[in-house]
Amino acid sequence: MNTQDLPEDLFIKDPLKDPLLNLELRISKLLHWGVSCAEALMLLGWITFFDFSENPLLKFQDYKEESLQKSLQSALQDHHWGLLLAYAGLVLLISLPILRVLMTGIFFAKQRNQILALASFFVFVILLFSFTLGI
Amino acid sequence: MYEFILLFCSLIAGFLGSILGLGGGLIIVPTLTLLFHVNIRYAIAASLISIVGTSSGAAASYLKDHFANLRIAVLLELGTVTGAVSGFLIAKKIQASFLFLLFGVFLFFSAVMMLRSRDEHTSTKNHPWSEKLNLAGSFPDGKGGVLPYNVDNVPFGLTAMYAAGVISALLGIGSGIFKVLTMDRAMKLPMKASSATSNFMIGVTATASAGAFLLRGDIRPEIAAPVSVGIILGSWMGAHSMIKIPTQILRKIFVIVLSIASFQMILKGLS
Repeated sequence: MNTQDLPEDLFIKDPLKDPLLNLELRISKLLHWGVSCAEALMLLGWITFFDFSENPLLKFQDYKEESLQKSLQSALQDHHWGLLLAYAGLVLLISLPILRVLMTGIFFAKQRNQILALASFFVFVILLFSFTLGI
Repeated sequence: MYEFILLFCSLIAGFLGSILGLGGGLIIVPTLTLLFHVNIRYAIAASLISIVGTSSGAAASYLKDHFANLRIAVLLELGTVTGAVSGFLIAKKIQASFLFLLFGVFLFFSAVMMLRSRDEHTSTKNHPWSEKLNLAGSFPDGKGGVLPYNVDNVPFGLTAMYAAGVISALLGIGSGIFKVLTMDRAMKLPMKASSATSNFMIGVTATASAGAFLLRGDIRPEIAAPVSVGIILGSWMGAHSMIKIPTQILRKIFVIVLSIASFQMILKGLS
């Protein structure tokens, strides 16, 4: 189908004219840079705590519950900066989809699309709530 | 040395996942548990992190190319996110052996689904919810024009997404096969729009359980960092691969590999 056969507002290529397209581009940039930074932090951290002498995966054969708080405390005490960097990357990576949902919610609220705005904010609240389940 | 091997395996997982349209989770969980003997709970948690990364990275380009439907994604995320929270709560209660069994079964299901035909199932009618929420969309056809589409069976789609969310949190996978299947077959979205929208949603679904796994301490950087970096690099290489790969042959080989891995996971679950 050719663009000429379709209503004018169905596919507008200029992001300045289409707010949804504009938002999509902003989210796209946020995700792109966010993922790159998070992965760089994880890679840097991983290289720092890299251990050639033993198999670091051996200690994960059995499941042992140790909260994030406890792991962070011991990493801080031992000045384990590599581990802390990798954790920073993990936190940044997980926060990206949450930010994306929040941005979408604000967009739909501005557009007065109440149902989709409510859906976005509900997803946002559930995501925040889900974190508390791990504590 | 082992971490380098893990990084390399993750790179291959990401590469294959990208060219075969599979999530890295389906490959990396069996790799971690069967090859590296990592406990399945750590494997699932590490896999979820890599899913957040790959989905966010892929979503960026899908959005830029206007394939993903943001409105449908927002609505269906209601189902996937609540499902993922339920899945996390269920995962806490069930034994690791059951997780192996479930993963084995799902792996076999995915192998069978890889063999299915990929015909388009578009709809001529729009569901009333789709009318109300303006869910119908369009995407570029690659020839300068656009392909408009309608959206059907929205309530069923929402319910199926809840199930996809539960499975995602339980097994550490994106459940992309479920999501695409629902959007393609039930909601009658074109395949490209289904895949892109599914990929876009996967990151949010995985985050709903990954956040809880992180705070509980199940996401260990020693595993998650090489897995995530490897899978992301691998998927990037897969997406930008200029080599002509015979995907049909690769798909058939991979069906066999997945079936063997499925059998081994079931066996481990039973033992």
